[in-house]
Amino acid sequence: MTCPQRHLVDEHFAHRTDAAREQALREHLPGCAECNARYERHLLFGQLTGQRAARDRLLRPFGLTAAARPRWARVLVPALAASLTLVVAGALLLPRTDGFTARGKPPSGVGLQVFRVEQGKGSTKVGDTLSARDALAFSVQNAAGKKWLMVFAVDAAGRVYWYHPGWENAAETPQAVPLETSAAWRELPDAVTQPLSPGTLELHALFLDERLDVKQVEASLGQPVPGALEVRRTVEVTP
Amino acid sequence: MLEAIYRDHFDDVSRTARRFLAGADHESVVQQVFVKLLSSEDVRRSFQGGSLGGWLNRITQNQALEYLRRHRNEAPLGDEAVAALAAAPEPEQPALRLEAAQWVDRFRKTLPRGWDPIFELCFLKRLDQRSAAAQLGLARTTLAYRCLRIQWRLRAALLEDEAS
Repeated sequence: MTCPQRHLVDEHFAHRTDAAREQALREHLPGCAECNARYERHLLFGQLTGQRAARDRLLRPFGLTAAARPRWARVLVPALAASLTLVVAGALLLPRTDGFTARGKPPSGVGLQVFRVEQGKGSTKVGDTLSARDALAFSVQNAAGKKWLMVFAVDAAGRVYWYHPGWENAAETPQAVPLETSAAWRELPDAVTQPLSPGTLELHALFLDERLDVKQVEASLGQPVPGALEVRRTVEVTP
Repeated sequence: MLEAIYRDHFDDVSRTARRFLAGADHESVVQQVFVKLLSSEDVRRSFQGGSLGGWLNRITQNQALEYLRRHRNEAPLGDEAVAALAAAPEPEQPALRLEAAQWVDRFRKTLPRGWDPIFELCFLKRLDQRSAAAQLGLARTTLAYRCLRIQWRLRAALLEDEAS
């Protein structure tokens, strides 16, 4: 049987608690083996993944924070504010048009969140604009059970910028990255800076059953990808 | 000012508390020390000059003993025992406590073939991805995604499936 106070533990580690709930947690823990065990599991997860260091967590509910973590570009820092969720447009890859178009009832089960990551400041949601110098990071939702993911952007001149997979070596042909089935948001590794040109930029996320590679996708831009679910968003890049 | 004290002395307070307590108890005591600094003018006034670190050390020690007395129903430590704890060489914190180490050993056996070296370097030894990739002869992006999948497995095993 799950302790009804267990949410206090999870909220603490998610940085979603306040002083009153934090105090309730500290009073509850010594007398509850189940919640104590869950706390220890969170600690182990943090120790193995390098996340949620104690100095970042313990006094946050009371308004005290430690210095920002120096490593920010390697692992996505979850946004503290509400993030922008892009809703899947449909089962077909839509023709390239400005803005966002939905056809019929959008299928549920996939989503993409886009963050701007700034060193020392954490991450914030991307709105309608972003700077050419911004490092972008993403998290995805995949309750639909798609197996592979590709995230890229296309500017007004037709240049393609690859985020996931990264394409750093012209001699290679990277393929779509693997996806776990999960209704929960999963962070993708790395915040990536691209040499974006000012102007309109279309962000694309392809959720695939078949493992395509970057050249296949670039060759078929604007064409439907059988079985794929696509998320698309248009933003304006400022210098 | 308090934020600077927190930043500069967190590690020392944590080390002192760890002489007495571990896990969630340890973190509760560390938190209590700084919350007291924040909320109690009497505590702040008790600093009369001298070593701030030494003063915080005493507060932490007292807080830890108070915590033990209140929550563990143990016979109070005698003065000699307290002094011995406080004066003992700083305990070398084991990389993982015994139960955690045993859990990790079981988890490693569930990883796909070839992933255990990645887990060892990136999660246990905390090597950066570039260095780990170079050592393992992997492309960095390949390593990054395997690390991500290992992280997902860790989360599922530790936090989403407590029946395991």
